Amino acid sequence: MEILGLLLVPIITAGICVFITKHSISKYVSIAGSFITLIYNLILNCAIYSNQTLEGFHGFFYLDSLSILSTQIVTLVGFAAALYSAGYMEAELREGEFPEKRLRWYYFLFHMFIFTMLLVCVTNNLGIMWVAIEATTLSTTFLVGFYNKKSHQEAAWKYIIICTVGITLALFGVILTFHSAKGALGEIGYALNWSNLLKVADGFEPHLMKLAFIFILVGYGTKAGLAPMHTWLPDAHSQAPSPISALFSGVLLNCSMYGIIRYHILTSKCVGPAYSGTLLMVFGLISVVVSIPFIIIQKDYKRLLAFSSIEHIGIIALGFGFGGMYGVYGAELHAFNHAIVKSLLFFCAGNLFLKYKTRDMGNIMGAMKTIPVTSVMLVIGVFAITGIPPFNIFTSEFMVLADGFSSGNLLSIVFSAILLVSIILIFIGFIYNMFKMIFGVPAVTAKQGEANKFTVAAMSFLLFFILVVSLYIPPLLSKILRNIYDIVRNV
Amino acid sequence: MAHQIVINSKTIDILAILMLMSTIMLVGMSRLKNCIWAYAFRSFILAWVSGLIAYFSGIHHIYITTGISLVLKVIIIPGFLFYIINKVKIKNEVESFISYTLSLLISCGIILIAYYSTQSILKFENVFMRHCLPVSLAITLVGFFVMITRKKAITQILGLLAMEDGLFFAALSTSYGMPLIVELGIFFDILVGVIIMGIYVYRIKETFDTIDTDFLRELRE
Amino acid sequence: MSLASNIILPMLQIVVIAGLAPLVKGFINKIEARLQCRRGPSIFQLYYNLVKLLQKDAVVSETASWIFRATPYVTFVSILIITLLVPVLSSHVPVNFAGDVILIIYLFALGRFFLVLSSLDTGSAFGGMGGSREMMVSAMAEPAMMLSIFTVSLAAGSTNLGNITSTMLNTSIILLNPALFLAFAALAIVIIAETGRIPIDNPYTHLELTMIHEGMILEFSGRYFALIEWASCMKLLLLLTILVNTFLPWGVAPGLTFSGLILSFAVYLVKIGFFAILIVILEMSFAKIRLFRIPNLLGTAFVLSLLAIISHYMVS
Repeated sequence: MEILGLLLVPIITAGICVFITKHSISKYVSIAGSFITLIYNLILNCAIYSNQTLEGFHGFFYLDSLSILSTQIVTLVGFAAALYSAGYMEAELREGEFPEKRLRWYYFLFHMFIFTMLLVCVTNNLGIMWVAIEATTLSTTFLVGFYNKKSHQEAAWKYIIICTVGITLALFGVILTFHSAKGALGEIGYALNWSNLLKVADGFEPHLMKLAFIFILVGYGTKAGLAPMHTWLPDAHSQAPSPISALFSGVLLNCSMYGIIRYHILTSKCVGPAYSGTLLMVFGLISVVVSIPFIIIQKDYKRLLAFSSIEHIGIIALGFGFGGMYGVYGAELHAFNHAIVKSLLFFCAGNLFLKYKTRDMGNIMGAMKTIPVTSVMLVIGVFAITGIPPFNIFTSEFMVLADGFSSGNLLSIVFSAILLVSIILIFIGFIYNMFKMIFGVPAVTAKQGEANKFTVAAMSFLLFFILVVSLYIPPLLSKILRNIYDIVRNV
Repeated sequence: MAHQIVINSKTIDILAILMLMSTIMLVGMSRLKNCIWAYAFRSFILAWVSGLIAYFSGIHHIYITTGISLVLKVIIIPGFLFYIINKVKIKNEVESFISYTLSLLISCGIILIAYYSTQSILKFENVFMRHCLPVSLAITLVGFFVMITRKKAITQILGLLAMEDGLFFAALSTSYGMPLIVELGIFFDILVGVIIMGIYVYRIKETFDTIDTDFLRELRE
Repeated sequence: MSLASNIILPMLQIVVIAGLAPLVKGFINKIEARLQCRRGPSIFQLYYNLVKLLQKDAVVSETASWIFRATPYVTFVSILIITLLVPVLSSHVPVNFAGDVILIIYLFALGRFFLVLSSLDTGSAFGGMGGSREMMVSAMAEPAMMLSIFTVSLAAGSTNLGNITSTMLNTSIILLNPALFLAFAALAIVIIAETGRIPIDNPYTHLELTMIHEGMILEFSGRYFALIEWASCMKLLLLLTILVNTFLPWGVAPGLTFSGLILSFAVYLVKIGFFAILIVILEMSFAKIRLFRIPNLLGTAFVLSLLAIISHYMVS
């Protein structure tokens, strides 16, 4: 019952926003809605902390540590993005990029997007999870094509086609899972509930389950941005409005990864962890390696960030693939860290775009002098995302690498070595591209100063979390991460 | 009774083959309208199969999905697609990156793979409806193939719908369909998805003056 | 029995096929004309044509060699031989040996081979064009035809059409076998192509750019023309007979009793009439497709027949 509230708040917010045409009102409604969701989720967090799991509606909803971490990321970044949207969309509106009445659809879809992602995380039913992941695509297509120009339409078309195809393949995986479970479930399993499936997962038909996991990995992997199914990702991330890019990168990719992990747990119990773990490792490493050249030669800073997301999703997959205590702990921590850092970076990118009206890094010089606050945040964000100590991503990347090197499995060690080299190369590419833009003599044309206070507030909010997690991992988070390890290892 | 089951499963096998043929028609036909008719035909057969399965499994909720798929996939979606192609006034011919004969042969190879790869699974199945799983996999994969080789946005939608039909059929024939609430969710997603894609076909036509997705090349590295 | 099977049956088959063939084509023409709101020629018109043409002398091009003169006879005789190999009214076949389906396919090919040669022989431009197109169509139609017939052979466990028909007679629901269903669909498309009907070829046109079959036989006249026309009518009927008696063998007499044959003849007429009407409907509802689109249709037939074989092997 408690869980339903988490879903209702975004829907109600969306419902209100669609009727408000004035941006001066709707932005506050949107911020308030996402703030309530955030607080609500924190309360749920405490419930999970004491109870481990929550169920609702005869097992239709199911909340454990794995899902609460994902909803935590959704609500946290969702609130930051709502805050940022208020400032960013205000500025865009003043530029006359779109008519004001289109904004109500923006907020409507924004909150529907949040709702669908929360549904992915809290539903126990694997079929509904599929429906929700597909619904995330449908609710965001118009957001990707929001400005309705040539390149935006192209990105939106690619986005919906590639993602829908991927998700459709995942549906086959869902069907195969259901089919392979039929014998083991008997009468109780007519609902396709994950918690029921897990109880009898060792009785599944292993051939079918293996096939199912491949379809799930390819299908949800498309949505998660795993290479080589990632082709929609840089286009959609670069063309969507910046707050949406932040949600895509920080949250949407995580939600799809969450779906994969749920199946990873089932498959591990059925055929042993090596099968799905190796597949995750392979796809993860491919994603990391594929992103390197695109990061180094990149000219467009939003695409640069998008390719960096592919890399980080790869690292998360690798962490789960290694499968040790540090690997899983590190991977989920990394998911959290990446979400907040990447969102911060996309907000910075949005501010740069508002100021310079270009996404080409060659045309921007001396941002430090023109927009100092954004630039400082950008420098911190770049250091954090490339894994410089003492920032939080260093911790989680270190954990993943340590797990790979210490696993004793030759494949894992080789993969970790390649990962280490890749991280260094990506670091070089990032620093080279970004610092050209930040430092140097500014062009005289741009006016000095930030766009408005909302954007700064959103960035500071995220920066606070980055700094906290960099210094120490709060016990609540740590407990949840340890619980996740138990869930994944199925102890 | 046993004889009845044999007849039923044979009928469903034949209907499966008919669906496969209509998918091959999607690959081999050169007129867009015919492709949409082929889709409507396949959906009709699918609804028929679904009704038969509901009848002889005695599971009532399959009747509901049968009804919905009849309305949605045989009437609403094909109607919407016809509306879209009339609205954007596109040239009637389907264009492909590879020639028809080659695509036919490739889809034949795909079907072969589908049959071959399901052999190991079929061993665990009952003897009835042996064509269902390979055919559903084949329809899905051929739909996928159509999606990646066709240039027109609207044929890509048709390929996607073929994939979806194949999956629906797989769910139906292997495990008597998904739970009702999941089926309803899937139907909703498909309807919304097709409408959004249709809107984008229209917008792309307005902006690019073509729905040939080959012209969508603004975003490259 | 031996008298019946050695003398009466061959005579009966030849009389039925050769005698009915112009009628079937006339029937198709007549119905098509009525559906197009024309009165159309009498359904016996082709008989009058044949009689008249047979009385006339042939005009032969000066450049033509013996091939041109031999072609009508080769074509006609090869079709006549096929008549003896196909079960028509009874599942007993006059000339009966293993592997005769292969011979049938080659005899059809032989007739066509000579027609194409003769079309080149006269030196007329249209002839060569028609011939090359005919070869293009048949190169794609023949594999499909072979594969679908082989599927039937595999399913029935015999390469003898008579045995196939009698096996099929004993099987209760033939078209519920997916493999045979696919083979049937493929063979139906191939028959359209082989007999030069719409949408592959237009039998009524003499427009030089679209002719296939008509282009090849443009130079024939008099009794030569009569033989070729007659042979092409018989080819249509024979292919329909193969289709009907293999896939829908109901009513074919298992033995050689008088009453059985009479009944079989009646059912045969009904079935052929049904397929003739199907052809008319098909021709009415489609336009002839462009030459370069023909490979699509025949490719589809080929894929269907390949699938037929695959599904036969994979599933049963």
